[in-house]
Amino acid sequence: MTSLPDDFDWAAYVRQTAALQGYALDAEQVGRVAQQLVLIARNAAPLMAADLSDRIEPASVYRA
Amino acid sequence: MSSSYLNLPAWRQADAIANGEVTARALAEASLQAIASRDVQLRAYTDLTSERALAEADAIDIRRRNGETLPPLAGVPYAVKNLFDIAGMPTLAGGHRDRAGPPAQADATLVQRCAAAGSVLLGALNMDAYAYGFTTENSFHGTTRNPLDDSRVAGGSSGGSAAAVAAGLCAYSLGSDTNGSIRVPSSFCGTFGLKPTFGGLSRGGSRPFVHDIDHVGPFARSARDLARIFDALAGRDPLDAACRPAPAQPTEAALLHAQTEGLGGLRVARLTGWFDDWAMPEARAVATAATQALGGTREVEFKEAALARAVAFIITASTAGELYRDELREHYAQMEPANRDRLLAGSLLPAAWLAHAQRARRVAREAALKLFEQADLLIAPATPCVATRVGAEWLNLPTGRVPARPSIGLLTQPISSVGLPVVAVPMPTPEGLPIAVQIIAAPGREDLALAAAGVLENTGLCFRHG
Repeated sequence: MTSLPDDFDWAAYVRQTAALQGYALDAEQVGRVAQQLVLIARNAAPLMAADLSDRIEPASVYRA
Repeated sequence: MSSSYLNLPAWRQADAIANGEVTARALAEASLQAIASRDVQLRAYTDLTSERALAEADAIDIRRRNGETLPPLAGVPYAVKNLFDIAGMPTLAGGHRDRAGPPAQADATLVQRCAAAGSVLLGALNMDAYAYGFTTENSFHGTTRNPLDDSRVAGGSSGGSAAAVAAGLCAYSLGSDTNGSIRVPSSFCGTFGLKPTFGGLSRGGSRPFVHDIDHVGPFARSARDLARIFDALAGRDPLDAACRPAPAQPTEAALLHAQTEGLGGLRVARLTGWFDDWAMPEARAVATAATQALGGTREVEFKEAALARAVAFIITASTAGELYRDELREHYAQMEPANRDRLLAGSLLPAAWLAHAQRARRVAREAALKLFEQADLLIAPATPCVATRVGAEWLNLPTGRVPARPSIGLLTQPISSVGLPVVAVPMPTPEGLPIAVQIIAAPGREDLALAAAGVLENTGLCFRHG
């Protein structure tokens, strides 16, 4: 996966996806949630940089 | 004085009851008195089950008087993180809205197994709300204080479980560990903790946080206690699809054997790289000391540790966010302010990130398993530093300044992410506070990790309370 651009507009992302999920957020909440997404994205960086073979299956625990 | 038994290891308490030195009722009453006097300040407990405790204690005393052979934890007082179901009580998982909800219809599987092993349930224990945190600073139930220094946190999310054991307010406790929630509070409070292999103990009847990474396990004041508890509680459970069968041989026997005969040539290695980069010098020092004490001379690097940690971070954020999505939508204002925005943010993550994390998890797992070609046991610090102050916002680590609350688990997340069994063993630091080392084994080899913990405990190098 590719890394996000530094100037990615997380607040706009929150407004769009929150509406999709049925959350009613005011501007202050949007700002706080966007800050959390910045933190999550920063911590996800090694994952986003990982180039995985398409032969690698998910490590899910589901068993039929 | 029955109160003099309160700080003994669980196995010693069980012996004392079996030998008739003290009754189970006297021990239960002394425990409840200690909670009444100490827990106002400590806030380890959120609920007591006093009547049940006395009834369970009386039943053990009757069995002893009748000459029955007692089960392995007979009369030993314990308590559980408040995400385990206790019949007749609402299961809070650190929140408060469920206080008014319906009570649990039955005990969680592990609570049933503790009862079958003869233990006496004292109550439910405080935690970070929804298990999402490392400090047990809970807006609804108060901050659990560290019994070693009440200006510091107990760690989390199973902070009440560690604090109660460290303060002698129960002999052992149960907690859960998704990203480090058994190992972090063990490190901060100076208790022993076991995070089994993923699926090593049943999560049946407990409130989930992240289904794919949730583990449950015990806290205690000795490695032998952990082994006895694990032996009593392990075994398949139809309520938990991930649950593994019990080990073929008791781990307590393996531990006692190792304490007299040594580790029999097991290869012990210290983890470097990520586990050095994110650890303060005192944390690296305890890992070095423990490795040397166990005869280890090697160093190995888990090169995918950063990936494994990022995997844990994304699976946690996304899965927990989805789990609480309805709650966030309908009751946001009543949810824990410390982590409701983090949960909400997680619920907005792209699905492709979660799928990518699940595939990367397999890569991290394969890399972790390869380490056991070089060593049988791996040693690393459990936390980057000693217990942080209540309200601390930042950690200053050698690699940089990072937000405290999401970062205290930097050294535990790569291990639970891939599901390896770990025993946390508290070690002293020059500051007088403990930092635990993680003794990490291959999947299903709790016996090796517990045996090494028992050997390390026998060296006298471990942290000792007061």
